[in-house]
Amino acid sequence: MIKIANSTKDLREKYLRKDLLPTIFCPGCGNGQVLNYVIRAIDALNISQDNLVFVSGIGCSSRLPAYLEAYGVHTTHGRAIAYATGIKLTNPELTVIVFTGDGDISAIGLNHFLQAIRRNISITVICINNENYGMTGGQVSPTTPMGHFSTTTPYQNIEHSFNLSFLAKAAGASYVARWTTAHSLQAIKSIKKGLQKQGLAFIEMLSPCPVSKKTFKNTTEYLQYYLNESISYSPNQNNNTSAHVFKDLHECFTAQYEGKIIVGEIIDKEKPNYHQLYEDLRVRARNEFRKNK
Amino acid sequence: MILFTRQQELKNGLTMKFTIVEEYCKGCGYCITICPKNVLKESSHLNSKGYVIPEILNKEECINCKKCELICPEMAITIQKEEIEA
Ligand SMILES: Cc1ncc(C[n+]2csc(CCOP(=O)(O)OP(=O)(O)O)c2C)c(N)n1
Ligand code: SF4
Ligand code: SF4
Ligand code: SF4
Ligand SMILES: [Mg+2]
Repeated sequence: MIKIANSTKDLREKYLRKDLLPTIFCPGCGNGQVLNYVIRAIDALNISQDNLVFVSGIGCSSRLPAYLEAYGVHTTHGRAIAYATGIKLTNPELTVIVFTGDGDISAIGLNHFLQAIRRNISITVICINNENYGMTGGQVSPTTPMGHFSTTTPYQNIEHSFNLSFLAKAAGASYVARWTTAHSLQAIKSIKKGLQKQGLAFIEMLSPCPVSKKTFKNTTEYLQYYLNESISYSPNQNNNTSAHVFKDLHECFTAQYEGKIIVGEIIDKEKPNYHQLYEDLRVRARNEFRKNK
Repeated sequence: MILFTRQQELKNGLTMKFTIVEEYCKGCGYCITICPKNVLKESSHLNSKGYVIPEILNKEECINCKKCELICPEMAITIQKEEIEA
């Protein structure tokens, strides 16, 4: 059966809080685009809004839960994943989505991110990576590429940057995808896959911040950069027909230093999640206790 | 299922209906840049917040790919097929 997707107008009516529209974001900000993609993914999966919790930290990107007609928690800087872990453990029936920024997740909150991946908590973490601290005026972040200007690196950034998706993969995440906001359909597909994953899913969205991170003169140049300089990383793809496919990590990183953007589905694997293991443990412990009584 | 080409659709009296919620638009221009058929262009019209909103140049060219709808950060654009009134 072909499912006819709801029109944008219907989606807006159903999922957005109209009293808060238009959003507070600057013109051309990628946060709105990610919101758009997440709404389409939720709608396609028919997830009930009563079972949906959005959790965020602090930053422009972390304002997203406020716009959604669902449960939302706007927490403290860097701690969204810690709150989300608590919510998911208390009620594993809920679908928990974390909205976070690059500063939120990779500077102040990096440890929570890695520990949640290690435990394989079933939440979907969506990082809006605009490669700077947008909200506080464009300071350097751990994902700002080397050589870029920011308000705190006026003579260019001399630090190496993190690629959060490869970091998540190395830490053992079940699902990792990396796209720019110009990759609408791919992003929606990955968010859908992430939401269905029984384990931690991490989706990194490279996103424009035309106001605080002035890498480009205008929004059109941002979009064009994303469309023209993205190269996909597909370790499992066998046909080498496209010139724009990377299989080798080393090649990827070299390209990244040259300003290319690595996109694609970085990993998709099955591994036991915390909730299954906890349930097994609970049953086992109770049986043993009864036996010994 | 019957699939129509764009020309057949036009002959059969189907066209695209565009709705852009002016007050939500922030004039970022993503919809204009992403459209493969150059259907949209910058208008000379400002909304109440002073943003330059897009206008529809030639809606017959639209292939309903929905790229503009998807890329819009404000979810301001809706495109639907409509019947041409004779
Ligand atoms: C404990 C604490 N330290 C610092 C801040 C100041 N602060 C607010 S937002 C922010 C960075 C946000 O950057 P990011 O997570 O990338 O979000 P963006 O605004 O770029 O979406 C910082 C450092 C704070 N609110 N709380
Ligand atoms: S400062 Fe950057 S991230 Fe924040 S709303 Fe503006 S464009 Fe978006
Ligand atoms: S649906 Fe496609 S062809 Fe039609 S205006 Fe939008 S981007 Fe252009
Ligand atoms: S993409 Fe949306 S907000 Fe941007 S100019 Fe087009 S209609 Fe306006
Ligand atoms: Mg940021």
